Formats: sequence, structure tokens, C-alpha cells
Amino acid sequence: MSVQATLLGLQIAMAYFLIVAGLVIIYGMMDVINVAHGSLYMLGAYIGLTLYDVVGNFFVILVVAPLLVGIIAAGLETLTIRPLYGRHPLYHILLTLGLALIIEEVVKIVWGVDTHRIPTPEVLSGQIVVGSVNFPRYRLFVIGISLLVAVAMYLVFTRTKFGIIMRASSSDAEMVDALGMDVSKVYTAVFVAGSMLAAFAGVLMGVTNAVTPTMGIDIIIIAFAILVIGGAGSLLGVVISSLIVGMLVAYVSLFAPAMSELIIYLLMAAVLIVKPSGLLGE
Amino acid sequence: MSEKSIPTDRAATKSDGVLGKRGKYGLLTLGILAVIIGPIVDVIDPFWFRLLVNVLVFALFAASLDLVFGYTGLPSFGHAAMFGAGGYAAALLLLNGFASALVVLPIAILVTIFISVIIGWISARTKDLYFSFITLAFAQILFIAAFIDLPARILSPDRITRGDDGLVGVPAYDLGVTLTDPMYYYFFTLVVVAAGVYTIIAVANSPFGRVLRGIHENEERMRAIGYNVTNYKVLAFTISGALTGLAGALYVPHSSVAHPNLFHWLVSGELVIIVLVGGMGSIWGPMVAAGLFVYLEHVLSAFANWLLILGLIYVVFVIFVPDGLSELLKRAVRNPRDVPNNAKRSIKSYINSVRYR
Repeated sequence: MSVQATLLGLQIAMAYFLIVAGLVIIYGMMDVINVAHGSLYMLGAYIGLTLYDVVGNFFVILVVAPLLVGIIAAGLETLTIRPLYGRHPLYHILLTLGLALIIEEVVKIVWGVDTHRIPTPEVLSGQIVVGSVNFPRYRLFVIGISLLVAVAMYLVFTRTKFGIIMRASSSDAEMVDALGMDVSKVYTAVFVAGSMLAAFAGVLMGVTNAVTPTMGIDIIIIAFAILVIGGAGSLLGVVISSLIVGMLVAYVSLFAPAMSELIIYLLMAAVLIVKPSGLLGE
Repeated sequence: MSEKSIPTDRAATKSDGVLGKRGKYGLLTLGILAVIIGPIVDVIDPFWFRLLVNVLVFALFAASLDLVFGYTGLPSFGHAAMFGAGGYAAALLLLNGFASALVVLPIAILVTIFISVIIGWISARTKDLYFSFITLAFAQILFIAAFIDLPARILSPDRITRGDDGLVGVPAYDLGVTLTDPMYYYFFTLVVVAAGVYTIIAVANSPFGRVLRGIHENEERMRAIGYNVTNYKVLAFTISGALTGLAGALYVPHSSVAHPNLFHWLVSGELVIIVLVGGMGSIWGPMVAAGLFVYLEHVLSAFANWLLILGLIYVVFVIFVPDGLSELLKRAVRNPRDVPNNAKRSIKSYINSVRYR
């Protein structure tokens, strides 16, 4: 029982982490709080759903759907977010709130309001039995692949030229500009990368959770809570808070399913009262 | 700092305060117009007449939010908490035998004051985006509490908020006569909303309001001068919250339902949209925008996707008219011939900012 809850908690934590990691790199680099981030997560799931009807292979859509969402994200960043750089950060919240509304309505028009689900791929269905404990394969897969993505992200940030340019742009955009790098292209790339992470999580969660037009706004508030609990600029903080929140949700759901979301917000309020910058924020 | 701060109605920084003489006469004219137009609309179409009450309620809600959001510079994303609290308080009282508006409204306001003080006291310790997030968290807590009927889980075996069903069949107020007649309810709402808006303007223009304005412009300086900035913020939040609760208490008996969705973050979000489109800090701009919002919602949802259009209009406003309608109108009145030029200039600068070099 508790093994199951722990596994579930890990899976939830990993999905949260993928979503919030995207939010964090976008916020950390660009100072943009993206309310539409949940909507891009939702688009990932819906595009995955449609692609699945076409190609019928889960692993293909797991790669292609985030790429397509990345293209949409590039358009959004260029046409709407870019003109607002240099204004008060509040304007990006306001703008992306509008984008979230628009995307939700477009999803309703294109895909309808019914609940869908991406089928579990054959290889990943069923359980692995060890002794008396069942490990659902898909859950292990989600945990494993998310860990892989997390490690890959860390390596990109610390070991690649792109990562160095990204970090340099966030600490001194003007200097990077002066060195001949086009910072606005870096910003677009960061936004696209963050959005692709969300879309990736969307496809992964589209198998176990319902794909609905409200999944975007449902997840974004929780994602903000995790972001705030961990500390808005800190990737490690987000890892920790994703784990805390994922476990809380899984274990509280065992005893009082209705309370799980409430606990997240209470925790967020408590953290903000004790340490307004979050667990690991400066 | 000043360059990057949230722009607001520039007139407000001048000595004549928010809404100059002309603005006040303008609002008074709108009020008188509302008195005349109500009965006329009722004759033409009773359905539209019922909408007018919503216009008034949301005008009060928008003006209250603007007092903290635009005027004081506290970006609250959780004002639905107070709207819902006022609404639920009124609904519970009305459904349990209290009918007099003179009893129910004051109690509903007291309940929201209690909630605003708690939320404000905790939130005022944080700034900017964190303020947004923590107010949002509190509204979500209340949303879930109403949704899962937390009060009943704690207090009693009976249902209290009735969860997702909401409280239905909330009767109208009694004020000597019952206000079931839409005409009575309209005029009652008009008087209460007028009083509420008057309070907001009086607060904004008082010495207290000037301190709030000062906090918006330069918080550190106000602190250095010796003002207890946090207390001012909490008080501003509480006044705004109380009036938002009043709006909620007017709204619920009118629609006869109190549903957890009153607390939903999209309610807060829509009101933030209204305040921005109207013009932050001008008080009258958001009120006008609230009226347009209610009107457009009902005109457009008949044959088009209202939320999609709202989203598009709103995004255009954020990008091209961040000062909102109030500044746009003011500029147009001051210099009508400049309007096409201004439009051309902002489109040009938009294209420049979008293009890769």
C-alpha cells in the first residue's frame, strides 16, 4: 500500500518537476511568469492525442508532440511576449493569462469538451512483480524518463555552450549582447525549451490522467505553488518542492482525497509566511 | 524604478487626486443616467434590465480591486476570495431566516473584513509577484473549502456550503418591502454601489489615500519617512476587500445562487483583466470596463465564443494599450487629431520589437 503511494507520489512529483522546471528556466532567464505554461502542457497532451490517431506509436508522439508545441511557443514568444520586455514583470503575467484563456478556448473548438486519454503503449502496460509488491510499468517508465530529462537538463546548463550563453544572458543580458550574441534569440530558445518540457509532461500525463480542456488551468496554479514553495529562481528548490508536493498529494489522497489540493495551498501560504523567497530562493 | 513601475492614471498623481472635478461630474452623470435608464430598459426587455444589476455589481468589484491593484500597486490575484466570502455570508444568512438588508449586509461586510485582514496581514509582508501568488493561494483555499464543504466536515454533520451544488434559491433582501421585484432590487443596488464607489473615491483622495499613492510610487521612501507601510497596505486591502464582499453580497441574491465558482481564480483573473483594460489606478476606467465586459459577454456569447474574444481583446490591450481605456480616452479628448498617428506609432514600434535583427 505505502509502496504504491510512494510510487504514485514519485510519478506525480516527476510530472510536476518537468512542468515547473520549464516555468523556472523561463522565469530565471527571462523574468517572465508564464501563466500559459499549463496551456502548453495541455496542448502537448492534445497534439499527442491527435498524433496517436495518425502514427499509433507512443514513443514517436512523445518526441514529435513537444516539437510541434515548441513551434507554437516560438510564435507566441515572438509575437506577444517579446514586445513586453523591459516593462514591469506584471505585464507578462497579465499577457500570458490572456494567452491561457485563448488557448483553452481554441482547444475546446478544435477537440471539443469531452475527456480523452492517450492509450498506454503495449510494452509499458502491466506490472512488474517483485515479491509481493506490484510495480506498474508505466509509472516506472515516467519516473525513469523524467530523471533522464532532469539529468540532461543539468548537463545542458553546465556543460554546453548554449547553457553558458543562457546563464550569461540571465545574469547580464547587455554584456552578452555586446559580445555579439543576439539575446532575443536566446530568449526565444529558452521559452521554446521550457514549453517543450511542459508538452513532454503533457504527453506523459495524458496516459494516466484525463485529457480535458481545463487541465491547463488546473495544473498551472499547482505549478505556481510548487514554484513558490521551492523558490522561484532555484532549479534544485523546485526538485525538492516537487517531491514534497508529489508525496503529500499521494499520501493525503490515501486518507482524504478531497484535502490533497488544499494541503498544497496551505503549505504554500505557510512557506510564504516563514520564508517569502521560498525554501531555496535568495 | 519609476520607469519600470506599473503605469497608472497620471492625473492621480496631480494635486486634484483621483478623478478631477470633471471626472466626478462624469460619474454623477452616469449615476443619474442609471436612474433614468433602468426603468426604460425594463420596459424594452426585462432580461437586459437584470443585466444592469450585474453591471453595477461588477463596477463596484472593479473599483474596489483597482484601489489596491492600480492605486496602491498591490497586484492581488485573489480578490475572488472576498467576493465569494461576501456572497456566501449573505446566502447563508438569507437562507436561515435573516432577511433584512440592514442586518445581512453589515454582517457580510464584517465577515469579509475578517477574511481580508487575515489575507492582507499575511500577504502585505510579500511584494510584487509573491503578493499575487499568496493572495491567489488564499482564494484557492477558500475555493476548495467551499467545494468540499470543509465547514461541514469540521463543524457538523449537516451540509453547510453544499459543495459543488452550491446554495440555491437564495431569496432577495427585505427592506420594509421585499426586494423581489427587479425594479426594487435595481435601485437598492444602485444606492449601495453608489455609496461604495463614493467610499473608494473618498479613501483615494484622503490623506490616507495619498500615502497609498506614495507607497505605489516609492515604497522605500515612504518607509524612510516613517510611515508604517505594512499597516497602510493591510488597511487598504481590507477596505478594498470589504467593498468587494459587499459586491458579492449584492450579486448572490440577485442570481439566487452561491456556487464555489465565486471563489474561482478565473473570477480574480477576469477582474484583473477588467482593471487593466479600464486603466489601472483611475477607478472610473475599470468601472466602465466592467460595464462593457458584462454587456459584451451577453451580446457575444449568443453567437460567438465570448472567452476567446475576451482573450484576444485583452491581449491586444496589454500589448498596445497598457495604460487602458482611461488613458486612451483622455489622450483622444485632449488631442483628437493625434489618434491615428499614435496608433501608427505603436504598431510600428510593435513590428520593430517583433522583428529579428
